[in-house]
Amino acid sequence: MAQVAQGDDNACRLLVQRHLNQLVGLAMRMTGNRSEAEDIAQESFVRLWKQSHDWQAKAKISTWLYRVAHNLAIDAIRQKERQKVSVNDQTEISENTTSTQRNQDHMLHQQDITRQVEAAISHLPERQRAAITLVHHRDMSNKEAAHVMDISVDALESLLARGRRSLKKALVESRADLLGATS
Amino acid sequence: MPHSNLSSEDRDKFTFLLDCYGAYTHHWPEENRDWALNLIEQYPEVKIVREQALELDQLLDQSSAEPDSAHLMNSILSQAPQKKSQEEKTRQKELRQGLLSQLWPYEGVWRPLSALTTAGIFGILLGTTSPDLLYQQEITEVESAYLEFSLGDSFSNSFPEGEID
Repeated sequence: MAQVAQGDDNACRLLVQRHLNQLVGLAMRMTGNRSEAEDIAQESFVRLWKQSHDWQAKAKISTWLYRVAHNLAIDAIRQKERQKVSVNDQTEISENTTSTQRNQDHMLHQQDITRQVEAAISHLPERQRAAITLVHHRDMSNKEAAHVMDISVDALESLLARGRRSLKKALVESRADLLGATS
Repeated sequence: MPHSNLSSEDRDKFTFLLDCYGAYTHHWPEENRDWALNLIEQYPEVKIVREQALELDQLLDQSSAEPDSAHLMNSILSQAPQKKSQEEKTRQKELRQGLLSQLWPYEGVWRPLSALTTAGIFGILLGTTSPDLLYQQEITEVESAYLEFSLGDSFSNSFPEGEID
């Protein structure tokens, strides 16, 4: 981080490369909107640059970034009073994540699975979406994820359990088809 | 039968662990991991429960939530802290030296600086000591004038133009 504060181009580039896609992914999961998610990720980095001179060594950069992005996403959601992701946004998510896989049958099937999973995730409340993304997709420990979301570990576990239960229920009907394609 | 020994408490705890964190062992909290792995080793029914829970994790893996956002890279990096280039440092140094040389075009800047410093110290010392001397002198002159005026025999001589009633 000291290198970032001193304006080391390589250190900044490495940091952005390591976290950018993941931050956009988290914000997109929460807001359901790609351009909004990109704005959130950019703003998170801008805040990191500003903070770099006063950075405390004990803080973990990834956790800090995720926390800022999470809070910005919550603000954006509250501002728009958005409860559910629109159908258009769901389509956007699927297209963006699988845009390079369109011409082969197997890839089409893969796209279908991703779309169904994304659709199921997008129907969860935003805090459950965030909890599952942080723990499952970002491999965060329960304490780290709870810190990012500014909640207790018990509250996080409650969100995770409810979220996973809802996903299981939503995906159970097409489970055989989906799992057949993944194998 | 080993699975008959599995307590309902352990079963509930393990089920809750899977409900929260799924079946991937690296997602489990560290404090529960060894306990859960021992349970899987000991009881086949626990192993089956975990394999069933694995299905959801595999489905979730299909969606990584990491969209390619490389096009944002330049925009973000353009706002990053900038390093002062060597050229800029040299230019600033030259500018400072240029200003100095304008003020003192001769060699050995330390000479006028030390002369100025000495003069300054001398001035400060003089300034802090001389007001006391002047003040004391003034007081002494005034006091002696009063004494002479009030106690002296030549009172009337001090007013040569007339008498006082």
